[in-house]
Amino acid sequence: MRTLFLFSILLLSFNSLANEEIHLGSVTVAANKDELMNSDYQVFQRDDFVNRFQNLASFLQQQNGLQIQQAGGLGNPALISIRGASASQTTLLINGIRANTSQYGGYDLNTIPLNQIDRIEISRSGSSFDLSDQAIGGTINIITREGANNNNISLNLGSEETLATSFSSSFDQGLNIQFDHEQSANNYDYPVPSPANNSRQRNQEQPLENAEFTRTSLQLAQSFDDISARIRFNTQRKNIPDYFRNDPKNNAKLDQQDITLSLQGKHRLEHKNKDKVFASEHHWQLFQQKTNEHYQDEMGVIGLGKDNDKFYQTRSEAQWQSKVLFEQWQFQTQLSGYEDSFISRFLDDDDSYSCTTPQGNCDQKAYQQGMQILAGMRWANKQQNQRISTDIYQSFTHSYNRKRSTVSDSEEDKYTFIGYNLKYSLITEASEVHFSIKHSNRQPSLYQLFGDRGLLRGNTDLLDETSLSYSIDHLFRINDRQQMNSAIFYRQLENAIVPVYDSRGIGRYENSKEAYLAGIEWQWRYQGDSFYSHLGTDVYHSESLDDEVKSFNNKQIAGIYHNSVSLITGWSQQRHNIELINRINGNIYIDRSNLIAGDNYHLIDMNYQYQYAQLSLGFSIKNLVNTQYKDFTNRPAIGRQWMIFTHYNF
Amino acid sequence: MKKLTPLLIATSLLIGCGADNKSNDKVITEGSYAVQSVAADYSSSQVAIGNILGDRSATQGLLTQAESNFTISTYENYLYHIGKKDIDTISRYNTTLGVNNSEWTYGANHDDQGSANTYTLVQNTASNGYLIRYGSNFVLQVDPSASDEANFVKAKIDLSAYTVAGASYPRMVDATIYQDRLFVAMQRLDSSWKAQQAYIAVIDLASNEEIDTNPQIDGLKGIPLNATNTFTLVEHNGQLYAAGRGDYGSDTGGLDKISTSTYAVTRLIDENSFPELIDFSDDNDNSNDTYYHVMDVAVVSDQLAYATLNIEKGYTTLETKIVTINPTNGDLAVLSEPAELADKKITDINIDANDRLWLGIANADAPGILVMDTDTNTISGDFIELDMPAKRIEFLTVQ
Repeated sequence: MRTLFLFSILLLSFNSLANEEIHLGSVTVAANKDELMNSDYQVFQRDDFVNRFQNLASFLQQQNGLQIQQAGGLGNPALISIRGASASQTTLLINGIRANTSQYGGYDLNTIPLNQIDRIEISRSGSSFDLSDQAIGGTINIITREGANNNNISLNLGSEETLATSFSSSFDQGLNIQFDHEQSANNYDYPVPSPANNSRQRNQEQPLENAEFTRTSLQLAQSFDDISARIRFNTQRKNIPDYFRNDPKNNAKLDQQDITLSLQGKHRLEHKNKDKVFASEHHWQLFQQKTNEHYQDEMGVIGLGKDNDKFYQTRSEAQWQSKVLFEQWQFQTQLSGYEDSFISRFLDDDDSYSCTTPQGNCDQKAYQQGMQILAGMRWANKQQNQRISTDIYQSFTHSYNRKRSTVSDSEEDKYTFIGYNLKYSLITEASEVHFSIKHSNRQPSLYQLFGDRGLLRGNTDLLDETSLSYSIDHLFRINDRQQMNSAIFYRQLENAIVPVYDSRGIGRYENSKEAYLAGIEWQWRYQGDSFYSHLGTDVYHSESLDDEVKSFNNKQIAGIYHNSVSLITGWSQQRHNIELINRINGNIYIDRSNLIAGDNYHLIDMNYQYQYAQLSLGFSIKNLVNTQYKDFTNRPAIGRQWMIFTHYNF
Repeated sequence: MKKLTPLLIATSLLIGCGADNKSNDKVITEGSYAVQSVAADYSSSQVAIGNILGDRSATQGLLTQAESNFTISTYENYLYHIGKKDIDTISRYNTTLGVNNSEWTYGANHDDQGSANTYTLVQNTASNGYLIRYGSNFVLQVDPSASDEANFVKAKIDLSAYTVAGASYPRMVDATIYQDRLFVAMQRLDSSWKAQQAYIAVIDLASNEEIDTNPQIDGLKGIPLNATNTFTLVEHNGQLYAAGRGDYGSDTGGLDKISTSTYAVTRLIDENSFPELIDFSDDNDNSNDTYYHVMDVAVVSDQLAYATLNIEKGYTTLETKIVTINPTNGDLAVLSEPAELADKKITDINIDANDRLWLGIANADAPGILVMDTDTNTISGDFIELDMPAKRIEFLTVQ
């Protein structure tokens, strides 16, 4: 039995909540593994992934409609595509705070060790009531673990000298401390195009050199009734391999330290109006994160020259959210503001301070400030079988960039956007249908607006990407053991921001005209007494239109698998659980001109768990039959990997 | 919602309607052109081949690659497909048999540190050629007829003396062979990518030794050029022509003519040559100034040559102007006709055996090739449509 956070149950319990207490987020109920996982909003609990998967990316890529974009081993950034949107059109939240950086728009799914995660929420069709999903593709919210009854220790060992260990302990007065460490040599066999010691042996398989990754993090969390505070310190080093020559003398590396402080509160109030009782809940959060990065490439193996670069980033954010429940109505307002600042210093570049050479590096300062205000409403009829929810928001963004040496040629840009979500739901005992419309945008990142004053130039004339998405999400309970989820959606995307190079090879960002993507996703889930199975497929059709670039016009959107099939079969008996995961991905073009088709592939993963009292043991094997294929970047993917898990609750 | 209907049809097909790699081939039977084209986002590249005369339409989708760092060189009926930075391979195709299967693929970085980044292969006999490598200090003398890779590289020619202090290599960019000498042009950018004085090194083919072109002066043995940041080096009738774009911003670059007998350098184009193409405002801001930059040169005769001038405002290319040059008397003129050249961005020019000028059009909305009669400066034949901007045009012959 698992505990699931169920979006739909919120509606069924609406009236009783009105007169007692309200649950403004989601509601916890006991449910079977396969029950009530709607296709537009899903919540996964800790038991769904801990001790079964090596990292968050490994877990998420099992889910319908999600594609993980990770090239290389542990420590390489993992991005995600939801419903065919690009990774930058997808938002990653960590405890409700946006993890996409303003500088590049990117994020790393594996920033948080899996053992630190308590809950994962995934929204696809857009709504501000479940989690604040305003992204073109969809939003993932990672809820970290803290609070009482969090006493455990774990040790995981895996291939490529991978080791992960964690310790968590809860004390009186709501104090929790968690320590995590993970490391991997990442020295898997890789077909080196031009080996450093023998360049004639092209594509010779060699253990990848200088690919080590290590990360250590410490988190302290203090929870009171209404207020909680968290401080997290993280330090990591990622060595950067030379995928071209695998030079053993390569010692390029990226060091990162970050510290995160957050303070949040939740206050529930009851109000009386004559004989009516209604409640309100108010949620606020203050957040600050400071990140220092140091990139060193003493041999100049990776880029165009030697590097000794430092980058300093700070993100500050404040959020306020209030919800009021009155009979069949629920109202919501949100107000949030943030500032992302960025400073770069290229220590070994004589010209980077004055920036006289446009092809070279440039020390710069940049920031992006934003504010958003949102109002939303949800209504359900008295029979609780119909519901309408809607929200509208306005966002303001101010971006600024200048050389470190002078303010004379500073650049800035301002954006305003009004977006909305509208959803109508029909609910019966056997089924749910949700009709959704979502109008979203993605603002250009600082890098896209202003460039790095190197060969890829910025473009202050960029418009923000906008989309209008229509989706129908359907859940049908066939019987007590089976259910079918399905979704059909259509997205119209305008002004997608893409890099384009001129005849001299100088790149710049531009808006492409428009693109369409439509898709059908469905999943059948069966839960027997001991046997369970999930079968799902995703089928997308897309077309990009760009009459300003002939080779990009009328082409399929690149970088996304347009056909996917997954089959998960598992068997649980007493203390044992074993499952096989089959995934087939196909129909992908590597390039926007659709000249290069990527590899179709079929992967089989296997997970096993054994539970005895407070002790949990297990292992997982990724790519069981060691399928050789090239990933979405056209780079050879990692072969078979394994990991052994041990976990003890005390 | 107009796309939903085809989607539903496509859904029924499900897996199996995957993306396809195009697999074209082209066998040449007469004089032909080959063009390396690159996607506007540099995410892929392909080669196109067509006839020089008659129907010139291109067979596209040849040698498609998921990288843009490819270029071509030709020798008679042989097409060399060269992988540049971080690819470092060279493949040879006998185009009279087609381009689906290479005769061989050899490495081009030999024992160098890092990527050699080969820019071109110049060849003087069936069994002798030179790899000009932007990311290396060494020219490789090679035997293109070698049946195995062990016998491909014959010798290394060291040009490390031209490496600017702080840089790693001299950035050799182009070369040509005339009589018994190899001429190698080097950009010589410093570690901050600033263009220092460009040089041409002269190599005696008999000994692979560098010739001192000015023994009266100590220092580098090669020919110092007036124009910096060399992009193109061609030879015609014993004269070398070196086009240098100069630096970005206020440096126009220029065109130099070099005698292969005296090594004397004559300036044909400099920053004073086309004042009407410069729009300069004295506000210490280069980004709003318009300059020309000399990018390429093609020579028809001692009295007629063509050069391309990129008209750039800040870091934006507005268009490319074609200018005519009389190398003998130094006369210059901006070509205002034919009208088909207006507002075009031109990446490469080359002269075929019939003295026609071939121009690679890089405008992303309508890329292709224009062919121009040089005796009348009028367009010859139809516009050759390409899917992607042309980067390099070369010619193939059938023996």
